[in-house]
Amino acid sequence: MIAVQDLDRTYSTLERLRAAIGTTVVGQGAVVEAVLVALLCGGNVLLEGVPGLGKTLLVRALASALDLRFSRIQFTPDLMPADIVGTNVLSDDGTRRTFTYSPGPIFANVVLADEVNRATPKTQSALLEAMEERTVTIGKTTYPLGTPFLVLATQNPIEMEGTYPLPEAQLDRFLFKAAVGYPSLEDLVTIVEHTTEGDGVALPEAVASAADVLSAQSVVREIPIAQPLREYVARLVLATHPDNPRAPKDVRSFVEYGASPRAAIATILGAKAHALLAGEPNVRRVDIESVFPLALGHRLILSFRGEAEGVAATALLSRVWEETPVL
Amino acid sequence: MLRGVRSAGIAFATSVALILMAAVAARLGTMALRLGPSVAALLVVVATTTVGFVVGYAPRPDIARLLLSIDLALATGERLCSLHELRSRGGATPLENRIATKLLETPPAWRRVLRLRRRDALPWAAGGAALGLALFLSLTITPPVPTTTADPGSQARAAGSQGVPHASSVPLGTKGGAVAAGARDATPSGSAEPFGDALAELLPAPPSRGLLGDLGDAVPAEVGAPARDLRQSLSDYLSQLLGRAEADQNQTFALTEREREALQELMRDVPTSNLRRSLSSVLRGETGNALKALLEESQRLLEGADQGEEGETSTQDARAPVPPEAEATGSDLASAGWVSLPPPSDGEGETTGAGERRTGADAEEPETLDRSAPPRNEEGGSAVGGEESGEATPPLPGVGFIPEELLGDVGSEGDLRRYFTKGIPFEPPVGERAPAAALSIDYEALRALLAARVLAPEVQTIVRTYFAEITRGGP
Repeated sequence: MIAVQDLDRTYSTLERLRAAIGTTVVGQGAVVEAVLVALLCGGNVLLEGVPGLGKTLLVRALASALDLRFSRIQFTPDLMPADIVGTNVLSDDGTRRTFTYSPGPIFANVVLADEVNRATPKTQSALLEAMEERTVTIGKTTYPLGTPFLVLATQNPIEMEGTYPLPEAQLDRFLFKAAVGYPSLEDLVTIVEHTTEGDGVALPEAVASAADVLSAQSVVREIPIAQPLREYVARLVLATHPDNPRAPKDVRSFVEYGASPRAAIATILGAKAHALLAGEPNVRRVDIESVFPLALGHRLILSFRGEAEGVAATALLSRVWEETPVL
Repeated sequence: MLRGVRSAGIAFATSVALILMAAVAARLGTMALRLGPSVAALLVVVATTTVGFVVGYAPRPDIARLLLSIDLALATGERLCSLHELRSRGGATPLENRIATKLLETPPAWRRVLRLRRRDALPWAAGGAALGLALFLSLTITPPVPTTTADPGSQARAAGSQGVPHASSVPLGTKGGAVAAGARDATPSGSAEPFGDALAELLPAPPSRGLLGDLGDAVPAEVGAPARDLRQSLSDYLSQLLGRAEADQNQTFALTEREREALQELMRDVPTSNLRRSLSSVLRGETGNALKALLEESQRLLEGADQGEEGETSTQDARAPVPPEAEATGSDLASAGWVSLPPPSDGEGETTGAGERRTGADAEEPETLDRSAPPRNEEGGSAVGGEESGEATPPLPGVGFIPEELLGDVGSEGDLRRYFTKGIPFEPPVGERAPAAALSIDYEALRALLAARVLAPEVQTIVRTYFAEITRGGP
């Protein structure tokens, strides 16, 4: 059970964290919020957007503000799994030669997997255990990752040449998928001003520790959500299944597979974190509404017809949201 | 919530429409339904039962879902259901207090609750409009006089019901006034008073001299018409029955059920107890010659009353000029046998009504008239005294009726109507009893009337109380 001090400290930490990131990252409020929510949930985020929108800067600013270990992995077609998780290397201390494990860049608190879809599926799968189990297994030895652990992967939706789309199993490991859009005019002016004058972009000072993050993650799980809202989330997720009689017509037409149970978990957990981030002591419907497309957008597998007609998953989710009653 | 509002609106509109239809139908006389308290109560019961059925049929609400629906309606940030969730988990957490604090800080969005969609507001608007229409109709529509009757007695009453009190409505003869209950026919009335008001007016002290004096206005001249029509109807009917009895060779003549009902209806309006007693004997179930004899006796008594009327009319023709109104009223009162005025206080035995009948051919049948004549009062005056003096007495000024007044509904007993006769106030000698005490009541007729009317006990009490009051105790 949490104490009043934990609650107040969490509110304070999140407020400071949001302000610190805001000094570096201009605009992209929704993306920043999604990343923070994922951090509070202990989940991973897939950021989708064209290059140059500040995805890497956002991750670096987050790691800097939290005083956490940050590592960046640039995914390329020739990247090997060992380049991510590490490998056993032969070491010679003068008396004997032994294999010693050399950890890869995955051993950090905040990992930026840049352009993750450029690596081969074999390399991409190296992230699966780390993202889900928070461990890395080399040979017969399993190494735990640090806490908190957060993978922020980016992918470019435009360039399809020489890319390897993430398999569904790996996509399902991401708590959220957020689209990073172009900044507004005002934000762009500010970005230009920050980067072309003075010393350029400065990363924020650390305003929270790993302990604060872990404390906040425990508080998130205490945030209450009413049973009818839980049932509501379950109905929302089931409404994405084309064989569900209560699914909207578009879902039945354009969706091959609906969202998995992880989607419901991600929605409820994300709603709790969203409520906490908003300073609320309980989950509201608006919290669910905020995280619903983030949690389900990458979990819908469109049918051939849906792909052919260019149906967007977000449009289908909007229809699901509109046609599913709360009670 | 909105479903509840919608169903409640529909129920409201339906019940109002039913009441409106019943009220209008009863008001226009197109339906035999009397919209009394019992009907209204029945409607309320039906409506309540319907609502209860709907409420009971609905599944029991889940508390958490109910709270969530309230949260969504009031835009409270789903705090009520979250509080319930925390409480159901058990154990106090700081979040519980935080939620409660936030709940109290956030004002509920009442406008969202009160906002009605058009289809939800339509039944309420329709019900309100119907209610307004019913109110308008109740204030403006005057009920027509029913013209269809099923039996001779009813036909007679209908013929004489235009603006005058019915013969059956004033069953007792008094000098000062009378209140009769139990009239069945609808007649024009200015306004209907609640039954409670009628009780309040009945139970207090007897009418004062001033009130009696005020009642002397606007007496209709045709006040005796209904009585004559009734008598004619009764005479015709008795003649028919006698004709049947004489035609019956097997001595098995008996009244049919329909004939009994018609005769009972006519008998109810007969004011003289002698004739009524005779008619009651007819109804006892005799057959053959016995029944024929009883019919003849009734016919004879009725004809005796007719002769008394004719004699009274001739007496009026011969006396000194009197105001037309008083003349007509006095004769009709006498002819109907309803009012037997006691002699004036000077003890001369002059009287009107029954007393005048004794001056005519009816003198051969004194018993008939004595039935309705009041007992001799302390001043020595009585109806019989008038006959004994052998004088043709002029009618007292200001005697007559004012139109009847509908007081209310007495459940299964029908309407409660009030009638006043214009009385003749007279000054008692100093030290004598008050004028009201000089009123003469035919208590026998009163009891017979109450018994024949099958009045409810409480109504009988009212009538008895009234007559006891106006006679300061009575016999």
